[in-house]
Amino acid sequence: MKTQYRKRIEFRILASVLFILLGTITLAASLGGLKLLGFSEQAAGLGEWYGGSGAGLLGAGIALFIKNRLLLKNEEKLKQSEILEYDERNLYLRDKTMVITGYLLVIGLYVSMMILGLTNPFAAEILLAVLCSYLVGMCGVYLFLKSRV
Amino acid sequence: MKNRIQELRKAARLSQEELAACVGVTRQTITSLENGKYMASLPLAWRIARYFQTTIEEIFIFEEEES
Repeated sequence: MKTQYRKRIEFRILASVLFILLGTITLAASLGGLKLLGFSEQAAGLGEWYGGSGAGLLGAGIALFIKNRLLLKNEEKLKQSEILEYDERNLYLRDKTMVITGYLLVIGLYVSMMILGLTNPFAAEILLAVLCSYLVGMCGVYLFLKSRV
Repeated sequence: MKNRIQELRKAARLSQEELAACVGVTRQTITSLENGKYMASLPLAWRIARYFQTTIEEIFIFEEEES
């Protein structure tokens, strides 16, 4: 019988295939595909950016695919990986890290926005939009969790 | 909150690694619990107590001023 964790790893293999596909498409688009599809010169000029993110996605997809395939073939490593992933101290550290980096992100965005506002109001407005989106998202997630717990 | 995990583990002649494997956590979690740097969740406390065939109160000593 398949364990819940084995199913999770299989799902991750599927996700890594999706990463590989997306990476290949993005990389192909960066290698002139955007122009061929009739996108503007400006969009086509973003080729390097698309190339970088496409190569990153492709590389990550391949690495995840190999790692998870190897895990499924080795019961001992699969068990160790499950313990590492569900270990409650590791989960606590992950949650705490997310909370602290969340606070740092908000503070960093706010300080950057205040400094940038003096020289580049447009960039400051973009940062304000990002900050507000983050806070609105946080409220949404809080209300959702509150209704469930 | 103090605990008697180290004392019980040593009495049972177990390594941290072995106890960790028996209760489904990493060795580092057992180290942190023994050092008092991390507090176990109720399910983990229950698993540890069950492993040592005792009760949670026998292992985890709650100090009133913590509340």
